[in-house]
Amino acid sequence: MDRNADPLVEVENLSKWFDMSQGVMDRLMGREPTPVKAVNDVSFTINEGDIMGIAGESGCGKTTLGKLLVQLHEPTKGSIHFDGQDITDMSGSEEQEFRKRVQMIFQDPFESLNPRMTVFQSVVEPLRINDMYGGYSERRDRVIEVLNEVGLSPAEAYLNEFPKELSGGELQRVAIARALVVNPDFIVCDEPVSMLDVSIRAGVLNLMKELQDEYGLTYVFISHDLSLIRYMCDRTAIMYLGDIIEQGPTDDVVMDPKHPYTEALFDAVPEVAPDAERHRANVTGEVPNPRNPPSGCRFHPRCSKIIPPEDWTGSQPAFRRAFQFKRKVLTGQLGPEDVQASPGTAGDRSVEELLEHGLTLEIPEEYRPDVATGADVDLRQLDLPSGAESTLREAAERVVNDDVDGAREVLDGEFSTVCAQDHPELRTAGDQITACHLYEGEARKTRKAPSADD
Amino acid sequence: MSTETESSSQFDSFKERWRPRIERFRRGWDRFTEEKMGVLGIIIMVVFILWALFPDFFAPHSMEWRAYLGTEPGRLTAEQADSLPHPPAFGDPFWAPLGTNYLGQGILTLIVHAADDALYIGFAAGLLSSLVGVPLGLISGFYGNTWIDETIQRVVDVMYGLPFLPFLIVLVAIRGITTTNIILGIAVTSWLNNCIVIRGETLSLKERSYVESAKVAGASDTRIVFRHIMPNVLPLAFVFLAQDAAAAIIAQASLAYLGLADFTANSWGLMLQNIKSNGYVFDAWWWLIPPGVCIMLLAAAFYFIGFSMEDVTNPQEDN
Repeated sequence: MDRNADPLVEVENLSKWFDMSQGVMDRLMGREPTPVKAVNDVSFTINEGDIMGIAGESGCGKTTLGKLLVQLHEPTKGSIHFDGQDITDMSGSEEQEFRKRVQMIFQDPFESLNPRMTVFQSVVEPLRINDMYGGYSERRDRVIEVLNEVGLSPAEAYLNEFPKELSGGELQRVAIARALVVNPDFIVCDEPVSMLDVSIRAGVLNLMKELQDEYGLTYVFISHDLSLIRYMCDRTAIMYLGDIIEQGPTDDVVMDPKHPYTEALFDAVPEVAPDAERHRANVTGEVPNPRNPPSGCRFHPRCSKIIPPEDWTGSQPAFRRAFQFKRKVLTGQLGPEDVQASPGTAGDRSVEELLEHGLTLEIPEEYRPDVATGADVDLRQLDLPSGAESTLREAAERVVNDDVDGAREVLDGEFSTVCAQDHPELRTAGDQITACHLYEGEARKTRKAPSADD
Repeated sequence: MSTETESSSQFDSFKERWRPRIERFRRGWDRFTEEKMGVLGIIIMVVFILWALFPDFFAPHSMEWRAYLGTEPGRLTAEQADSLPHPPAFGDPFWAPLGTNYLGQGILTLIVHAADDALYIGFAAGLLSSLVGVPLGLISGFYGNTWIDETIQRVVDVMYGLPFLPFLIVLVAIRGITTTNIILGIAVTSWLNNCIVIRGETLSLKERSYVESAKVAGASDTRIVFRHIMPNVLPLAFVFLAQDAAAAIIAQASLAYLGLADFTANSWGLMLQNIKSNGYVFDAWWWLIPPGVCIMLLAAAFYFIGFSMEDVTNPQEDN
């Protein structure tokens, strides 16, 4: 990899919001549309000859980002420069030139080829559209050449086949041939092997690597499979809910992830060795709704390293639990129905029960401090400051007495964290850049990342 | 010499180009004949088309022929007139295998000579509603949820409010009772279904990744609609064409029965109308049944062919 290569694609503050349209009723009622921020304020650069990996959970916006790069979507905001030219604002002839240089390979080979066109018709189509290679026989020769290159030989046998007569691996090779036939510079691969049988994935991936050398290609490689990203990519960007939260050279991102989300993502990759200790991601909850993403750092409701305020005297895990308690009350996940002991008769026990239940984190067993006592946490073992504990107790009392609004009032303003208030900027951390408050300036950099077992 | 080789190589490349298409046609035909229903439909259709093209060959008499008189002008005796409509007669006193109507016209002659009218109505109404409905449906679906789509769909909604018969009565009252006007009236109301179904299909097809991959390759909207989406909606369009044709034939017959048809014309529906207006429904079965059976057979033939074509162009369980 040549680190001093010229940038081929420069993306600046790119955003794509969906569902901006309003219905008639919304307009009459004066309601503002709440868009889904599929990609939000993303910036990165891809150098010529690089393979850039984009990873993340499903629904994090990686496919949208890929489609933005090949102009299948118009960006809502921001700009994309391809070889120095702004592709969001092209004239007709410039766009034609751009289309010859950029191609995309899609996830599902069974869908990315028209079922009513033969292999030849599908592969020759980009040549026809872009009016390349004079006549019919020249185009035919070029198609045969490319089919042979992608490992479909003898190509003549495939020319008149329909997609339904081919296997998934063969189809994906045809799709690759279709992308390569115009001799492009830049290919966006959207999960190119995820629909393929495991036994033929390696073949397709190695083919893509070989073709990269041969054609001098630059790839963007979108995948949720981190081992695959690690095998293929020079640089990697990790996405979460439309944000790029970490990017850098793949080795650094994999070996020394900075962002807690990246760490959790790699924890979730199963190990091959059967006797290896099974890691599970230390996160709570589900991916939030992208229509209504959390404030501040998008990951903070699930993060294990949420930062306590300066004046917090207890331990970080205790703060995480207290913060989760507050979230559960605010979002209505915790209510009087979570208590089995009826208040009044059993005296103080109902409040205790609610506290124990609310302070429990739904995380894998290995991160639970007290496996022996079962699922609920023992209040006395938590390192909570007494002020915080009394606040929690008061809130719990109100919840038990069916006064959830009162409980919300009590908790309002308590347990505030920088993670929930400010959206973190991308900062340099080690060899990569990451968007996390843990790496904010020197003061925080020295803060030891807390371990989960105290 | 050189030009000869050139033209022969041109011919070769031409052959090379068309071979897959011929091959495809042959495969399609094989699949079509697998379905007995489609073959039956084709047979019925071919018979009717032959009737329409060569009526004089198939009909026992010309249109001028009258029972007892033949093609000569003259008057019937009171006894002869009383025997009309005459039941099937084979040579004695005249040749009319399906009998005659009250005017002495041979029923089989009328049936054969009316085939062209029925086919004309079926094909014209079916094609017309497809030609309007399919392109509008494609456009509406491809530009789904834009003002273009909204406009077309609102027009469709309004048209759906048109009640078929009153609309046709008004149309015919304004423009006169002709077969063409009736075809227009049928087409105006039957393209709506085409449009809506094709739009729905297009909406789902345009999200396929092969459409996106064509877009990435720089294909224009026209190319995407006609090369990538239309071939995939054609089977459906064909089924609707067949249905519309069948519905049009039946609609024309019922209009004729209601007296809303050109009574100087000769059509199966009109024959039914005549038997009703002359009060022979319960007396002359040979006059009542043949036109009804022909209407049914032609409508069925369109349906059968439509369904078989769907199998050919959209092979779902192809092994």
